[in-house]
Amino acid sequence: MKRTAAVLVIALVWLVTSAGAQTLRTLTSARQLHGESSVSVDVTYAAGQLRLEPASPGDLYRMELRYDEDQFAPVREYDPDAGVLRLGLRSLHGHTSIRGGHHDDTPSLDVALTPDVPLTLRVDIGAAEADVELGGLELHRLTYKTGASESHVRFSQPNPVDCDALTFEVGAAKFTASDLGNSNCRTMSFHGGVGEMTLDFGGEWHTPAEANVKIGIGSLKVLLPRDLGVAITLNRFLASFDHQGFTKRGGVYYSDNYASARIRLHLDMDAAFGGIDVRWLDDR
Amino acid sequence: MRSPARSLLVLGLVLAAAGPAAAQQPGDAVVSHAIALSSRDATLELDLASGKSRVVSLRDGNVIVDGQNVGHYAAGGALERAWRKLLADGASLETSAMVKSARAWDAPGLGGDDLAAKGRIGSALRDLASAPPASAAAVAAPQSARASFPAQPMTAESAPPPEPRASAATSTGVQLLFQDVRNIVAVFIALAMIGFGTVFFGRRYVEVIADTASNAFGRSLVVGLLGQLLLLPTLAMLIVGLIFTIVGILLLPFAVVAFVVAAAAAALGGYLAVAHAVGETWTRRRMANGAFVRHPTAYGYVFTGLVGLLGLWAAAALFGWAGPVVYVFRAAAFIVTWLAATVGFGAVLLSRAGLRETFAGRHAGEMSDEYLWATPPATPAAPRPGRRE
Repeated sequence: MKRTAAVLVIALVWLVTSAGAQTLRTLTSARQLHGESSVSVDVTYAAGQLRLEPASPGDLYRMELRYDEDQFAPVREYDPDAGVLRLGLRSLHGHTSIRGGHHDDTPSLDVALTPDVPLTLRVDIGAAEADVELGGLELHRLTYKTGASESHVRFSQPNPVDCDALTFEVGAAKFTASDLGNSNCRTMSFHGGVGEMTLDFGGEWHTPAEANVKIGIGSLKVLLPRDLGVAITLNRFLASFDHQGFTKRGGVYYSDNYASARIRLHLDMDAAFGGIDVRWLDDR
Repeated sequence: MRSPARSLLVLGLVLAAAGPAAAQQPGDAVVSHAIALSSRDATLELDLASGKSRVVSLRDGNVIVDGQNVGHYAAGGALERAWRKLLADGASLETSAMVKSARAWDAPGLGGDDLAAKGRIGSALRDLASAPPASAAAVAAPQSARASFPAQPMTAESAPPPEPRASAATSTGVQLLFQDVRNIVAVFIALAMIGFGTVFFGRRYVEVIADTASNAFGRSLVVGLLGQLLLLPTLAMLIVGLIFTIVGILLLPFAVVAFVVAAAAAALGGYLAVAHAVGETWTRRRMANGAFVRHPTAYGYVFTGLVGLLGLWAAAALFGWAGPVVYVFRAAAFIVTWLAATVGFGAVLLSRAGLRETFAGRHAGEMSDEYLWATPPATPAAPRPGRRE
């Protein structure tokens, strides 16, 4: 028994000491524009802190990555002929584990993307804390997937180009999207699994849009500007909905200004096991 | 005749004026850069317009240019400090400024290997020039504007390989083996600690579950299977049931968490109880064969059982180098683990978490009437073995 205890103690000490050892590596990378007319960008990030924002004019991208080089390898690929840029981090061993510890040891990825050419952007993140500023980017199309994370996506400035589609797929997460009107997108799709989703449809609206919102278990908060004509089609199961300020006609909830509004938004909402909270932005 | 001569003269003047630029190899223009810094290495990677890249790395006392070892330096010495400062300062620069900075790099006060290595780095960077970034007008240029840039294939840039490929592969294999073994040991220690704690605080319950698993193996397996299948429907019913009651909605988060924790505890506790049963069976067989076991205790049973149950995972980790054989080990280990967890889970359910001994095989046969008749009424009855008093 003594021998067993000694072996256990030695193994425990080895495990504890080796668990703290990680080799942090910082990678800084940049590329300037060389006549690109449009770029398709894939950002993949497994875990840590992600920040995405517009780059300085003239830059195609700038990336600052901090990671454990024993577990991850950076992804930095660019095909100028196809106009495809891939950035991020991939696991070396097929699984992801982030060791906790000092704040400075937290893996992070800061990406800045060109505001000068139209982008087709695809963001795929796992267990990450994401702060994404898309305002000012020429966004042609966006697909945003996240697993268990906390994401804040903002459109602080209007998108200067027409956007075809915004797609957000959120797993178990707290997700907030702000100033979606600035996205200038005609079609928006928000799919949430479990968690808390806040969709702020503020911003400058220039085009009518359709938004499809699905959430499984969790709360959905929708913030709408007063001058927007809103029609809500609701499909819910055991989910509460306060339809104050809306009039129901033929199974659709219409805002009072729907007939006279310059820009209209049609919201198709599907929720189960949770609450839907629809509010006007000036009531906040 | 005058016209062609004039044309030749103009062409000659143009070429003379563009002399330095024409001497520059167009394929050597740098279009992007990456700087990687860690305690192990300091690397500058420059992507060239020709599709190639120039990688200069200081790693473990070696100067490596494009994967080739070209010199040595004193680790932590003046050369490494100056190189790291260059890269750290260059992190905020754009590519053209970084190239200029690298070409103008100087590290005074060097001698010996460091000086020779500095010369090699300088010559690796000397023939490079930065490609001019697009002007504001060119930014929005049409597709045809890109024709002036040479085709560049997809480049996958990760940490630069500073060592020969074979040794890097060996190193990775050893690292993987080391990491797999470390994971197995970590899981073993974690399970052993939990097992010892469980035995310390609830030995009687662990023993009842272990006895149920070994005495009613088939029944435990069936119950465990059914339990696994019914877990999610039960959770769904719990959620729906709580939602339909107004007060229950408030309890929903706690109930869901409690359910998940209880299910995980049942599976883990069952697995540990099966480890106890395996260890006990093995120890008793050894003793029956004449081996001397000083203190057969529940702690030893759990320890031995875990060694047995995790042995296949350890074998899979150790034979990772043996190619497809490892998949056989992994599949066997997975099946054994699943079987142990399922039987253990079933035993937990059958024994009501160790409270009920019905299937533990502890009931001594009931005395028949003739023995009861033969027992004098005044004789105090001894407690039945295994019965709670």
